[in-house]
Amino acid sequence: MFEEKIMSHAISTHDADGPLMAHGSVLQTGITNGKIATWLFLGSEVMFFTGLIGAYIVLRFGQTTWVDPSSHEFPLAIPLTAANTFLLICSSVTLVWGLQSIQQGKRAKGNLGLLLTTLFGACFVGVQAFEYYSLWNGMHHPPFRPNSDLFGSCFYVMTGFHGFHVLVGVIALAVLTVMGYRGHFNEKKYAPVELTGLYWHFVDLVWIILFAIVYLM
Amino acid sequence: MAHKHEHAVPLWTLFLLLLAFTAAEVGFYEIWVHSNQHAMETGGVPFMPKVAMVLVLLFVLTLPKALIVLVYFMHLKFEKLLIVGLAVLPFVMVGIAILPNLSDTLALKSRAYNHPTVAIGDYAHAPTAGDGSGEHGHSDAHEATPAQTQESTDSY
Repeated sequence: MFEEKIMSHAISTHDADGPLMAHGSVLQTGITNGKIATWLFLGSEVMFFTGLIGAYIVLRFGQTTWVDPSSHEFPLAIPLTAANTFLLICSSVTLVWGLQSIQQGKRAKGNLGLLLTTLFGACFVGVQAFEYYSLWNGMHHPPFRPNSDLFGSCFYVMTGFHGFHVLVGVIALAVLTVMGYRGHFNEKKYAPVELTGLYWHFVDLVWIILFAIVYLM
Repeated sequence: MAHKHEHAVPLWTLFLLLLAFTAAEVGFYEIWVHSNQHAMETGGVPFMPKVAMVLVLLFVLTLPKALIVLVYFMHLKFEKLLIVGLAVLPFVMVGIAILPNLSDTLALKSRAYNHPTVAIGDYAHAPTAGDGSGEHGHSDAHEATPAQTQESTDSY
């Protein structure tokens, strides 16, 4: 009885054919289950990454010695990583563009947006893999590995977990791209793109902060 | 993200803003680095203390980028209060969790975690500063002598 009341309230306050119903069932709040679940998941991710960043801050400022980012011995390539940051920002923009296109019924543009986002994301992972390879093998500096010092441990843990999240996002986006080209999404059915987009933007957000904290300080 | 088309975000404006902030971030950092290197060579000081550079970098150049992504790309500006609360609450919680831990930084400074680990009783084989036996490049300059490591261990 109570559930019927909730559903009737939800349906009466929202168009049954509207985007909310396209996301699956609707809660009394007028927010879809999928969106609530995604934000709860992202909340746990915020705490996970902030735990890592917090540990880094405590360790970084609690040390008497630390590799100086402005010295010639600093192993990280900032121009390369800045370019990688640019790639990730581009991927967020193309994803928003793709989603807006799908919502407006422009499926071809929407699919192109998804494809570009996947490619940008894959490029980011590729550049990060190259960066790891060059650091590990000491192509420009002495080898820089997780056991080099505290900065090495922190660097590989934080960027490694972030890179893993990007890889998962790229796989999800690749699946969505295939689904898009098979005609699964339209102006009424786009929830998977929207929810995966939330995850992807979060990954972008984390990188913006990691780039400043790990590479520039 | 957008439920209705009137919630469409000004995509290209935001893209250019993010691009400008990233370029400013890297440019500002590079200028400070050159200033710092010049200061070290001439015995002067950089145009801005490092702590000020870090604060500018974080709060003037990085935070706006993060907010643009959070507010516009993740569409928080157009979401219901419940979603906004779900998004903001974890940041508050981690802030509460991290701030007390910052007091540990003072305790950490008195220790020497950033040195190669030396097992107790194995000091005779520990690398000494300048003997070239360290395998980790740039960290060699900071390696502790056995006596220093002993002193560091004793501080517990």
